[in-house]
Amino acid sequence: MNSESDDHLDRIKSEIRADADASRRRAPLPERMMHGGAVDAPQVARGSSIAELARHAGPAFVDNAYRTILGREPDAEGFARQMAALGAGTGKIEIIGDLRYSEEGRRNGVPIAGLRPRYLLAKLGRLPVLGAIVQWLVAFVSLPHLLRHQRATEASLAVRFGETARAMQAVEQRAADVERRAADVEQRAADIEQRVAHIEQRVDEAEQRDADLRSDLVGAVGELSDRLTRAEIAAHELRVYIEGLNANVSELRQLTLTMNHWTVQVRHSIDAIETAEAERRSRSDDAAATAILASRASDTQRAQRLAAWGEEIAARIPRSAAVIDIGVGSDWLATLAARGFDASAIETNSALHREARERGLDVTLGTASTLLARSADASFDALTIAATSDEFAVLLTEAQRVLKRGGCLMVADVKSETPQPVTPDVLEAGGFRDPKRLDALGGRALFVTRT
Amino acid sequence: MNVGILVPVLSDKDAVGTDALEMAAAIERLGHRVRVFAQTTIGRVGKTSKPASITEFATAPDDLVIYHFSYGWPHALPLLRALKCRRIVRYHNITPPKFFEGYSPEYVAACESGRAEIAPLAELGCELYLGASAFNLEDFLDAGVDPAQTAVLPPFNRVDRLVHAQADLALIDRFRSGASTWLSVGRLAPNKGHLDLVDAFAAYKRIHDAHARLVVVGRADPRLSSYTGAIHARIDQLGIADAVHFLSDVSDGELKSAYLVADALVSLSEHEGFCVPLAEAMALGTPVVGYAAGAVASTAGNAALLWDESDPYLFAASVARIRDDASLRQLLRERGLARIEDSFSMEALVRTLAEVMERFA
Repeated sequence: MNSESDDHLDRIKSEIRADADASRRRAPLPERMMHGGAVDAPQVARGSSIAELARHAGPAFVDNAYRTILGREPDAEGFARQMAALGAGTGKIEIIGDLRYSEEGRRNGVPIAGLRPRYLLAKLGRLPVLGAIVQWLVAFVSLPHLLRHQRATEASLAVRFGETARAMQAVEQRAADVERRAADVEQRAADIEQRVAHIEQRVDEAEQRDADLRSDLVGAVGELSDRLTRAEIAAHELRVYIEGLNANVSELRQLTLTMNHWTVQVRHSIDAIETAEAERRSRSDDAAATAILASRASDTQRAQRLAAWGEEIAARIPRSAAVIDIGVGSDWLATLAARGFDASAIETNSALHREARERGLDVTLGTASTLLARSADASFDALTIAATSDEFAVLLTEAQRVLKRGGCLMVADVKSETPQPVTPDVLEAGGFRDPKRLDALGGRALFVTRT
Repeated sequence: MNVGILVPVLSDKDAVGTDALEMAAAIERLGHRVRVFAQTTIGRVGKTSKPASITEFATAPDDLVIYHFSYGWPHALPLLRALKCRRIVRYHNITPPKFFEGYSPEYVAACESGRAEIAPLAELGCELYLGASAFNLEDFLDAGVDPAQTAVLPPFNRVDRLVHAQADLALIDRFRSGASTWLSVGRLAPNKGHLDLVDAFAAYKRIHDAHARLVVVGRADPRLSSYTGAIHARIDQLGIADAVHFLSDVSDGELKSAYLVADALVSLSEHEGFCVPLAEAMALGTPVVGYAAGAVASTAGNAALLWDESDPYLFAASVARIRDDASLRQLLRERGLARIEDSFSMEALVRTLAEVMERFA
């Protein structure tokens, strides 16, 4: 189905077709010549009459005569020649005959009835003397016809005069319309001029604003340039400051490196000192251990003494009880272990510790107070301690804590020259009771019960 | 996939060359390896190879060769027969020899030999016969090709380049006045209807505008000097020599200016395979009046004033109406621009090409 615009286009094409049909009649185109220059066979009107040809006047007569007789438009030269002949008074018959009986006209051979005799008569009229007589006779014979033709011409002229007057009126009317329109156009032109002037004024104003803006822009650019200069100066100062900082940082780095080197040196020295101290302590422990082991070996009653102590301990605590020893000795620890106790010891001498470990005994090397402090409350049934221990007072306090209620504290090798007083009063003040002293077999041990 | 574009003579100035080069570029952008093969090259066409080496390029059965067929070339059939790959015949149409009878025996022979290759090409059984228009394909359908083996792809063109070219102001000034301006674009060849054109213009000049002028843009072929002579003889016979201006070898800017100053493009060709000037006129907003012969109707669609009969008075009245009716001018311009966008813009052509290439995926 056509759209609305397609229908519109179809209507337009119908109108165009009607316009084309009208144009075709008004302005016919000449026939095309064949390519190569050969003239196509003209499509001439076959046959005509003098009346038909002479019906036209002036240029129309000549044009129609050429088209009818020669089948073509009149060429410029021929047209001019025939028009000149008409103007000189040559009759239409003669002109028609000249065309018909020309070489071209003969070739076309258009029949025109009655032409030949009248053409001959016309030509006869051109002869001197005889021609004049002939023309007079023709005129006399033609007089009635001429009078009728004159009356018809007068009537025709009257009609044409009326038509011409009416046409002139129409032209005058159109001229008046044109004048009115011209006046309108002038008015519009004046309006346009006014608008143009207004636009020019606005253009001037815009140009002025543009000039003002340019001026402001120049000022802004100048101010911006100043700010940029100041910013550059500040940036330069900042660069200088940063360069100074970099110099200080570099110097600081050098100092740090120097200090690091010195610190490393100090650490090496400390390490050397600690190594020397450890070696010295080791040698000291070795010497002390040698002396202690030698002393024990020379003490012939020691084994018995330790056995008696073991029996006392066994009477106080259950079998498999936990017993801890501090400083009595590895042989004492072995005695306790042989009795089935869960026996362990703390040894401060590295050599004695090593000796006890080699015997398979549970011995920990370290400071007695520190290691004992790690033990839980009431975690032992018995604690045995040598009276010569360095931290006796501290260990006594710890003993009260780590022993179970009713547990046994044994202080071995109590002598008068022991640094700390180990008397029943002291022990009672420390939370112990029922002291029992075993003086026999070359040694003294004090047994108390933890309250 | 390797795609070979085979063109006997590749020129950067004619429609066939433009179509081949732009098609090659578009196929390459679709991701295929493309090479152009041409026996002869004219102008700036880029790198090409000789046709004999095409069998070494398109070697696999899945490869593709597109042969641009616009006139007789004796090497075409043997090459296409030797190929083991898929083949497309891209048909640009060969003018029937009758149009050149009486003007050029050489052209008659060339057209006859060219059209004589249609049947053997049809018998090759190529995978696709690709016409620039449905009108073009009629030759191969008449030769027995299955319609399912055919497709239409309008020719790639440089209308975009023309639209964006800088107009030649001198030409605009030369032809800018109150008088009507007719425009004809196309080489001077007998099938282009120049004799009908001057008749129609003469009728227009006698009836509608005595100051009208006709601008004929197109190159004259020395081998068709008798036809060119016939045009000038008719112009002289009609007495309109002062009003007819012939322009040849125009630049893009001059051509654009010609379209811009014209009241209408008048195309009275009796045989066209596509008619690129119609697309150019539509793209530039120039109304079109024409004779609906060949592929003109399918190219212009409803964006032109077309007539089924070649009547000089119809064409003259059409131009007169266009000049006087602003709403008609606007309607034709809008339809022309829409038609370009939908069917002949680069995007639309690449879209259609991609659909064609999908058949060979």
